[in-house]
Amino acid sequence: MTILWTFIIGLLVGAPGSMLGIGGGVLLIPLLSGVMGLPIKTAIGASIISVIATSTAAGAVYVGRGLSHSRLAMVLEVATTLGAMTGGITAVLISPQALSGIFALVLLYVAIAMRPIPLGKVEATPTKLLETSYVDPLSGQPVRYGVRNLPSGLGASFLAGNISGLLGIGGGVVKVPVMNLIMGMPLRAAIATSNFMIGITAATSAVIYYQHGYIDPSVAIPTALGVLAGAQAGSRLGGRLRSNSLKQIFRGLLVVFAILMLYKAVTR
Amino acid sequence: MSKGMDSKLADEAKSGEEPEVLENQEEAEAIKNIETEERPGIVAQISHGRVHVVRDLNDLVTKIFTAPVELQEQALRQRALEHVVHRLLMVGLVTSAALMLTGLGLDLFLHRDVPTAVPDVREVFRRVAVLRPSGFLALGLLALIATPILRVATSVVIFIFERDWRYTFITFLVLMIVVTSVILGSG
Repeated sequence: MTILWTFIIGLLVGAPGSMLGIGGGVLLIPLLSGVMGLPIKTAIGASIISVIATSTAAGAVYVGRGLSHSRLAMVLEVATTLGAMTGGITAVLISPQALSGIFALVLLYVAIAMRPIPLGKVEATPTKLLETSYVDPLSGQPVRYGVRNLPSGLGASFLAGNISGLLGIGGGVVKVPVMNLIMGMPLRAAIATSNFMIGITAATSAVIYYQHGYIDPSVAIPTALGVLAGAQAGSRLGGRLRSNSLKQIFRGLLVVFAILMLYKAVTR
Repeated sequence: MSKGMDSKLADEAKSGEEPEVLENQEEAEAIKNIETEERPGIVAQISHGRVHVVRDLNDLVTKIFTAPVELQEQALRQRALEHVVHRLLMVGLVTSAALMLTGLGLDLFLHRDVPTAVPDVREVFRRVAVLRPSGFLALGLLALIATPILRVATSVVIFIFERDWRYTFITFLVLMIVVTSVILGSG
């Protein structure tokens, strides 16, 4: 029975996740832990597996299209994997209540970070640092850009990796705004590049979770398969729904989940 | 510095002439774009004497034949390697999904409950050998976790192949961090 429910949760989470370009983790963990009552570390273990699955599926597509800046990704991965390693070790050491509390705070941050868009207005400019280009799928025109403020990017990547390793989410919500607004990357390229890094980042903490028994096959497997199927459906539905109203519903949901996780942190 | 060269090169490409092969050091350092007449836009990019593929791979095979022979060879090699990463991700995903579905199917067939814990890695292979569903489930999970790690390992090989020692070092560093994580995670 658990299997069917976790599969359905995966389906429900995967679709809006792929429509909004947000990994399912921020919804998955409150649903598995808060609503279904599973231990938060089991929920985190299941989420990290789903994160690897979606990042791999999307990554394969992005590599094919040349949207992700693979060299920059390799540089930033040094920081994300270091962050994920320390985050994963911290997750093992601290109490489930503390994890729920931190999760609640991150959910509130995500709800705020998703406010009507300051993102995307960046002018793509060549900077001589890690220059690259891609073909914009909408206009068909090549976009050429370079990278600014690499140290800030490394810092944000470490933080993103750390949160990913600690809470089992992808961390794109931390990296993408920094890559776009501070590093000067076009939004499309920032999203693709961030996604490219998430697979190895999640794998770095997954090896820790696996060895500590946080990965429960009866939860992680149906969830991951559900998220993959849901994401497929989501990418097909994507164009028809107005993403702004979807975003507002999503933000409301995040606040509700934050309260739920906060409640979980203070009880038990 | 590269801007003038870009437009010069673009002009050459548009007038149907092939871009010249890089000869001196100064040219090798410049970043150039290869464009083609029927579909303008950057097809591949030459920087530091190497060809980097920057647009969709399917297109490239035909487009790249407008470049000189040496560059064609480089670009095709690069294309082959990017292709490897793409394929690796797809194969990893499909393999792990197939293993997971096999495990779930066996559990259903044998009327067993799906296990709630994973065995350690050696035990996983022993269980797969005797066709126990829990072995397939755990191996599916391990295959999924291993996929991005193999992607990084492949990148190391790619950069060695390109003789790009800086990126060989960077990707190797990432791989070592993951290995450290495996070791620290067992403690």
